[in-house]
Amino acid sequence: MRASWLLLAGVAVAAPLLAQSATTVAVPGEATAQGDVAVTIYQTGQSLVQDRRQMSMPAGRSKQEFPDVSAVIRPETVTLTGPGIGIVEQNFDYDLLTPAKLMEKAVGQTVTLIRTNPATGAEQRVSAKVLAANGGVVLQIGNTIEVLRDDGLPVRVIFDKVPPNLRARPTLSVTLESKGGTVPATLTYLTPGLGWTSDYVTLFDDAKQTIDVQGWVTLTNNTGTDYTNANVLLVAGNPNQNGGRRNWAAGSDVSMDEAGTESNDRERLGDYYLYPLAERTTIANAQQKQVSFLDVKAAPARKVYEFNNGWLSTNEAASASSVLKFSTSRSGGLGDQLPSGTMRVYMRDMRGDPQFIGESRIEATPMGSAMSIRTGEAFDVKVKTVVVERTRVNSNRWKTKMSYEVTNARNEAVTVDLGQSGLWGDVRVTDQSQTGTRVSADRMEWSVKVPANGKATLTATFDSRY
Amino acid sequence: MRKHMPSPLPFRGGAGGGGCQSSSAFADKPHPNPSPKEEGLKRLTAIAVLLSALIATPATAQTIATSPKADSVTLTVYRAPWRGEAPIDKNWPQGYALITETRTITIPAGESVVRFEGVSEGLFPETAIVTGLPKGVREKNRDARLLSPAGLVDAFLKREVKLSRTNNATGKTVEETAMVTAGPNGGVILQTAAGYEALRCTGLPERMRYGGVPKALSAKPTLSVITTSDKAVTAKITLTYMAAGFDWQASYVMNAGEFAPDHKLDLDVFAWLTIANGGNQSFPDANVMAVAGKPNRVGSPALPNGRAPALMLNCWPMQRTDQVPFTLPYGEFYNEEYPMEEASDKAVYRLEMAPPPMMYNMAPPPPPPPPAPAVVAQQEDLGDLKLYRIPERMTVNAKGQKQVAMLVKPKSKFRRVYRAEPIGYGWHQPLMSLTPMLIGKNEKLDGLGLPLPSGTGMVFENSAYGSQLIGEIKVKDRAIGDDIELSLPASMAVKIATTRISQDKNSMVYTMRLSNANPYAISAEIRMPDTIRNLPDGVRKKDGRPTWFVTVAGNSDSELTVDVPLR
Repeated sequence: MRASWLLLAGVAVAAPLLAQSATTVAVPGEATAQGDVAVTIYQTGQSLVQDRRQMSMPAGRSKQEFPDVSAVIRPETVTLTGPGIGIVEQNFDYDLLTPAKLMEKAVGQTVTLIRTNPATGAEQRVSAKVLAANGGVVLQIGNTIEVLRDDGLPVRVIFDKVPPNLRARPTLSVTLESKGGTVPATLTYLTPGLGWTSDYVTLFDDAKQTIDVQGWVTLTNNTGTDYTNANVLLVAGNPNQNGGRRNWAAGSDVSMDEAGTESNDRERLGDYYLYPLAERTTIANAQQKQVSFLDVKAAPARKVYEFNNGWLSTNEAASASSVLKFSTSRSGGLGDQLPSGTMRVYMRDMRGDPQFIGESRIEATPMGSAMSIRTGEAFDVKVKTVVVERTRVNSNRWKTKMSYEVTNARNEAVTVDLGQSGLWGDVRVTDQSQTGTRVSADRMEWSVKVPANGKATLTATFDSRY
Repeated sequence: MRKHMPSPLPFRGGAGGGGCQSSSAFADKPHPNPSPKEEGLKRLTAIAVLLSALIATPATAQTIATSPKADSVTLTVYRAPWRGEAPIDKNWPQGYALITETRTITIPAGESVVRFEGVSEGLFPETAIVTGLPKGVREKNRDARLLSPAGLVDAFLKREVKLSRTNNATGKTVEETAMVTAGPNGGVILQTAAGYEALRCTGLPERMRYGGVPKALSAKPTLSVITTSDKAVTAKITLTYMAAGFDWQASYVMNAGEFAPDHKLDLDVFAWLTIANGGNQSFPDANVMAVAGKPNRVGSPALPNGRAPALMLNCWPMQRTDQVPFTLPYGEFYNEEYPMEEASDKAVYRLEMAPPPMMYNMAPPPPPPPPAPAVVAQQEDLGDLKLYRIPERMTVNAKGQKQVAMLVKPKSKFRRVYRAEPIGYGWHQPLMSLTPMLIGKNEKLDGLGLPLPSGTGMVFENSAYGSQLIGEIKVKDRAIGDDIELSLPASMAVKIATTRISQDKNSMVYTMRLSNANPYAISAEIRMPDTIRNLPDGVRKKDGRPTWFVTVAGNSDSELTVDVPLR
């Protein structure tokens, strides 16, 4: 019983090889030396490839080459495991076979020359010894020394063999000891060149204040190798290896207002989330592949306006940012974690066709987070900041009176979340035309209501001590 | 929760609007992770089943359906995000477009690959959205392994090809079977019946013949989707994607009317919607739109590049006795009789990089605009952006720029004001020209009152020699109600001379003399440092800055002395 299975497996392995050699001038594309391949792609630029091949090997010590591994394999990470296999040594050779190398390695050896007579076309074979290949090739033919093709006439140079250490591609080989027979061996290695990110298609309905979101994982393969019929597992986590966040610049593209605390039944690996692809797929070289992983309809969302003034200075009217706010919570939100990626927001025009209105990067976001996506700058909502008065109280104390004129050319009233940051040192707000919030030591925020086709002015006086 | 949407239904998967079922795309089963501890028989069974699966169902189970071209195209052009008011880069416009194509395609029963041809080459594959397929999209792929001399050698490595040699004397061609042993990097080595040989190092005419085109290689990077269908159907599908290589701007042409004594003038404001397509793909009879405003853009990650390196058929060192020096690198030596083909993509690259034949500013000024253009783009709001729709279908040509009228506002009310800022904090400029400004308000009352998208423009004025250019201007995005300030080239006739007449450690005293060599009166605004506390007569604060508002009669001057505290 057992033996017959082995036999069957052996025949199965041999069959494609036979088929390949039997066809002349075949069109390549199907055959691969890979076995059952599983690829785990992290967002750190590293990927784990597990390739389970059926290898027939002789009893005793043998050298096995592994074609169809990543061309940018990290050879130091290679592990080969299998029943009854003992590893003697692993080699990764990247000396490439080229005509120049072939000639260099033939120095001291005998090659065959075929000279063609340009007048008659008659061929003449001679044996020649390669003496040197410096700039030109110096040959010994019989007792004479000459330079290859010194007369410019056609000469074919035939080499009996190619040097053993030169290869068409960088090649991984393992010398191992085995009891012989066909063995299921698992080759595991890390490789750069595979990566993935997410792309979100978000359709915003302004009237209903809802969003439809479709998430796609986008994976790319630059390894120089196809992974045929592979099981693919994607691991989501912050690609910043040192952790941390880049939100030191207030008003930058930070998309998460508040990190969530919810979790769902998505599989995990430590602190990472796992996204296995449902079906086996072939990741071809030089391919970018997208597979859907999220589809949410009519989640609540609202549009707000934000403006940040970085310093107490006069600036001409500048557009406020249009910001889309939503939640990734189970109730009233997208109800999932969001792997880091790009969110593109679309909106329907008057004819009902979707148009692009802006995009934003989002970082890896836990479920239950409050999100704000900056989609762009509002054409019609602007803020002009003016230093009305700057008074010196003493050598290290100044009073600055600011005026913020918010204009709205839209046919509806808007509210602008206006921030004044850069309040370093001991800065107090001594006077303000409406009450704002000191959200942090260096930042004040006001919520300014602006009527339709109108304007609103906010004034505030800052008392700065240095 | 599904809502009713007007048709067509982009962003929805199938006719039923089901979309891509995220639940089916990722099954909740554990990732198979082969464990060496599994036991013999069970494992072998699994292997046999797996192997038979591998042999019986290779990828060929998928049928390929090709969609050669779009039935109709909608093109929405977005401006280059970081261009500001600089002109469009015609060579490779830095903006982008959202392209929606409807295509009709016949899909066979079972699993099939739908390939899209004739899409814009600037396509961002991660933005592609395909809707209208009966069961949605299983996966989207963009493949970039290109068909090229090097790509063929690469694909046929360790495989058999036909090698033919033509005898120069007899003209007879001998063909034999050879195997590609190495290549394409650094040359090609073939194994023939005689032994190992290097291609094209012999001086004989040699040529490789391949049995066919490997399936993985394509002429251009190709977008495809994998879909399934229960039965063969002809589907009308929508392909939406973003593509690079487009840009647009407003090109203003303004005619200044008579300059009235109260510094007011009428300005005929006209603007072209200028659309540039830097790609090699034309869009015939397209619905064309343009979006003004600043949608946020983030950089895209680099695409996998399948560009095969150029096939350089390097040989071994080939110097002859008469050739010195011999230290040149091997790679420099080609066979003289049969020079190697340059990689074709290299040649194309050079063509693309060739400078544009025409400089942007060299075009002569066009005649004043016609009074009533037949086609004017219509403006509508798109969220916080402005959408301009060209009412008729237009053809956007490859490597072409197109203009359609977008706004016509004759007799808008503007003022002419001269401006300068000759004094800074602790420095001054002894003599400077004032900048004439055309100042208006974007209000209906003043003849405008509509969104003005950013762009460049020209201002003409009537003279004895007809309408003449008086300056090129830059226009920023201006909403209704905004101030409009157009700055013209510095004046030769209106100058301000500033002299520091005294200074101590606390302040500096300056006298400014504003001279007007024009025969007519001018109105000027001179901005000064905001440290000035006692504002002299004629100086008022504007936007927090003390400003000298002055009118200077024709062929005369005016003076002001200010005390500028240093702190």
